[in-house]
Amino acid sequence: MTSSNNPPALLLLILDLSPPTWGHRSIIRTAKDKALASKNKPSAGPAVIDDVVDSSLAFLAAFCAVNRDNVCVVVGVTESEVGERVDRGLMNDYVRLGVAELVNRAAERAEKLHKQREEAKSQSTINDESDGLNTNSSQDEGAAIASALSLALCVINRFMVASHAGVSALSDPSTSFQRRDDEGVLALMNGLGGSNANGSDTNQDQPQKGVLSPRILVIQSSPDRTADYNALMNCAFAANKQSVVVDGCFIPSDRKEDATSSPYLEQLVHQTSGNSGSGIYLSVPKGQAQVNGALSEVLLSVFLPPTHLRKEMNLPKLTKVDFRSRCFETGECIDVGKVCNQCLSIFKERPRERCWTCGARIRRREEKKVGVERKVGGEDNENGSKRMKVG
Amino acid sequence: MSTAPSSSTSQDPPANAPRPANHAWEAHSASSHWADIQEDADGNLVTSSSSRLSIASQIRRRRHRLASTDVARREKRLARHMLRHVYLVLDCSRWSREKDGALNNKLRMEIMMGMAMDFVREYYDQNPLGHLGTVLVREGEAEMLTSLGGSPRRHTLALGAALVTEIKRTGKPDAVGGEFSLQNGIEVAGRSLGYAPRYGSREIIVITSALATCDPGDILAETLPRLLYAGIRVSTVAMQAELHVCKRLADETGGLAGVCLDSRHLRDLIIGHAVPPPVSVSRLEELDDNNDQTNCADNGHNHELVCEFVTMGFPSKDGGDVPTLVHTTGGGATPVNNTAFSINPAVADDRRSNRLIAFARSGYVCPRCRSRCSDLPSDCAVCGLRLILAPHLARTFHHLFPVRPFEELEEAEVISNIKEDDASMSQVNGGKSNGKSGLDALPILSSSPFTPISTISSSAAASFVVSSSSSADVQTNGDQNHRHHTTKSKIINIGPSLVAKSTDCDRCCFGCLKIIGCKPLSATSSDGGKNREGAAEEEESILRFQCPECKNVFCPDCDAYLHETLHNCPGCLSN
Repeated sequence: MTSSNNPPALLLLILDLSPPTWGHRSIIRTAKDKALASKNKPSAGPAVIDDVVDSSLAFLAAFCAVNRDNVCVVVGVTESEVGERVDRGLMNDYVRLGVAELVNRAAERAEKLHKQREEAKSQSTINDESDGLNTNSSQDEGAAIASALSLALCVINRFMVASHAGVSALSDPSTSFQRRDDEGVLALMNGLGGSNANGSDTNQDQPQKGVLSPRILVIQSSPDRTADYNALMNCAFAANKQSVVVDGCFIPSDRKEDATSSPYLEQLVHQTSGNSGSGIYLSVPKGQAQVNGALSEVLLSVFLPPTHLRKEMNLPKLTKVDFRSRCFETGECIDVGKVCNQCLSIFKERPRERCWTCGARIRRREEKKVGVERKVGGEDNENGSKRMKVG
Repeated sequence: MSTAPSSSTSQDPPANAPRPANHAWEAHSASSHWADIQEDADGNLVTSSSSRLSIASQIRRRRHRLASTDVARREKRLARHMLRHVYLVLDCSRWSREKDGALNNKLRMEIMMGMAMDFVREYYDQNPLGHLGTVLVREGEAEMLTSLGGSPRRHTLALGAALVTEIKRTGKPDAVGGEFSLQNGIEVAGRSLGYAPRYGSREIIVITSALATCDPGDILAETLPRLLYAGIRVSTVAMQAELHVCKRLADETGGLAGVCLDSRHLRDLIIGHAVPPPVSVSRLEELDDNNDQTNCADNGHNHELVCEFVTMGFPSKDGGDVPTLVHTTGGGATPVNNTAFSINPAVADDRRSNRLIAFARSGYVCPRCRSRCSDLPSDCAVCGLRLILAPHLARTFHHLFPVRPFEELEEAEVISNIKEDDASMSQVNGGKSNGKSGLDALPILSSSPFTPISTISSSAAASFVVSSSSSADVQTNGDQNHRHHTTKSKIINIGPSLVAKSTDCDRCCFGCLKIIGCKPLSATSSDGGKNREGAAEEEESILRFQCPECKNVFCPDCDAYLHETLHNCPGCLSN
């Protein structure tokens, strides 16, 4: 396969390694396996971390085999740490080592926290610091996916800078547009003919320039972190700007009370699939699809095809995305809300005197405002049209 | 900004520049003379070629420049207009049909339109909830090109088409396009802005290359009071010299008046307007006055924020196998994906002529009237509810909570003494041990054992580096770094459990793993003297920037990327 019809790709694989989640899964798995083994049935429990690491390594190997110029970077993420590695030669060993190291560190950290908490409890003195730690650890349930995504985008940007495309400290903030300047009217006219004026022209140019087409695959298993939402969306917009394709793969557990899907990941994929329309979100089915190497098959068949071939294939599509927002006050999902124009906080009911978030005073009655507006508009309208005639 | 060299002054290039036989401003290189003149930190003009500067100081200068413009001033918590209504008034008069030596020797109109399109893109990127419209001024008349709307595609298409028709317009060479009329342009834009809701901002940005305006009346006496009354902020960007009337309008209405020095500066000026402006005090007062005469007691604190609640709908995306009719604006951030065909039911109806109805499999369902539309954000075609997505709100949040600017770290710890050791030992031991000793000698490293986590493999690097003159350097550097780094490696660990205010390896960019803050060994070990580019590369790698919150260090590129595009700090997020 020549590189012209299959441009080299840069894959950033983000692996969710958060120990609480995986620890939980392995407990469930062993319990279930025991029960099934007594009935002579194969295991059907949720995937454990080994399954996921094995499958992703297989996936990476396949990815590197698709094109010899493909590059992949693995970013491992736990609750509080992010580590990366880039390689292809000794990928397997290094990824395993890295995973082990990250998990160990997270475990150590958790232990330390636990100890501190115990000490604080035993001393029964309310220490501000330990208090803060307490609340922190209870909040940080999921993995720091947003942080990992930011790192991944940094790495992609580094590759792009190397090929004179990304955001470099030496260039203008808007170098990506600079090229058009020099091409003048003809380029603009050509751009008009194209179906998408929104930046797909850079996308189409990339294979010719020898730039790797960047993509990110997020394999997540822990629940979403609510605090990360804004950061995730920032990542989505930044990825969109650089036409990075983001794929999401969620691995749910067996239990009914756990989440079966990740709404944030869904939104992320949807938001970034705008320009090329090829982001894929998949929530791996429960049961047999998660064990005995079935996970590799899922990854290979869904996420391996190069991005430009995706529109020819029958791949899972995101048709239903829940974009509802939460009320800042009550936390419930709402369809229609009142949004503060200063701080953009969302409320189900209009607060009375002041905005709860930014403390700004709320302007008085709406009817009055409409009246004023009309007056201004009407006046302007009249005079404006008069001027037009004179001019 | 007041002493603006316009194209007329560009006839006098710096004395040391070689002067071509014909007029200087016609030469292709004319603009480079202006690129040579730069402003130093104190605002003095320095005539030094930028190529002579080291990369490190170029980066510092750029950071300084950005810190002085609005883009980087975001560290202050300001009340900003989150919902903007902006009109772009573009000058297509005869003045804009001249070639300008300071602007790459092209027609001003061409440059202006190109930048206007960039502005549109940047504007919607920064303000997904904003509305934008464009007005063209030529022959003393103003014409609305696109009305206020939320679809970037519509604006770029219209601008492109306008540019083509304007360029093709023929006539007497001096008379094509006619005069520029500032008043008409502002009146047309202001008339439309008068209908824009009060909770958003009302802004007009005038980009003009004219040196005179031909108006039906007195702007300052007639239009200005009305602008003030309607709370419209006028900003001007002049492509030639400054006009008093523009400056005055901007000053009175709280806008910015800028005059471009060259095309790069012009871009800075125009794109700078994509950042939402701070809510001005005068506007707050004016809102107060408008608002209530009863609340006189509150007059003591005028700086108090006034907010207003806007009803918005959060639709969810829904789809099925059967295509249904959806409303579309024929543009938007996403082209309609699976549209079969589209019909336009309301060509005659002017207000709705930008609305189309199309068959599509998926669409966003308005929560109030259950009608479907394809592009967001927009107003519901049926019930007029403002429909947005939560990501759009989230996108706007970074103006409220920006990433704090990073601080530059001293390069004092750089391995100056070890460098000499390297040079002497490299023949004996090879790069590996040198790298190790070099990094071990650093005082900041923690004593925890390292496991290989990060390396940039040279084989991977070779496949993406574009073959240019400097790439060979980069590659060899990468190779060396790779070697001294595989022995080292890192796991980046932030958080209270580790040694406070330090990371595992502070010589490695937290974002992209680039080696920073130390001189590459290759510069001394492999090929001592190197050429100039090698030295420049070395300089750049010295710079390190530290996040004040999470104390992670970043390379200059990541610093720029995080602040200008991503608006996230990965370290702070994982903490």
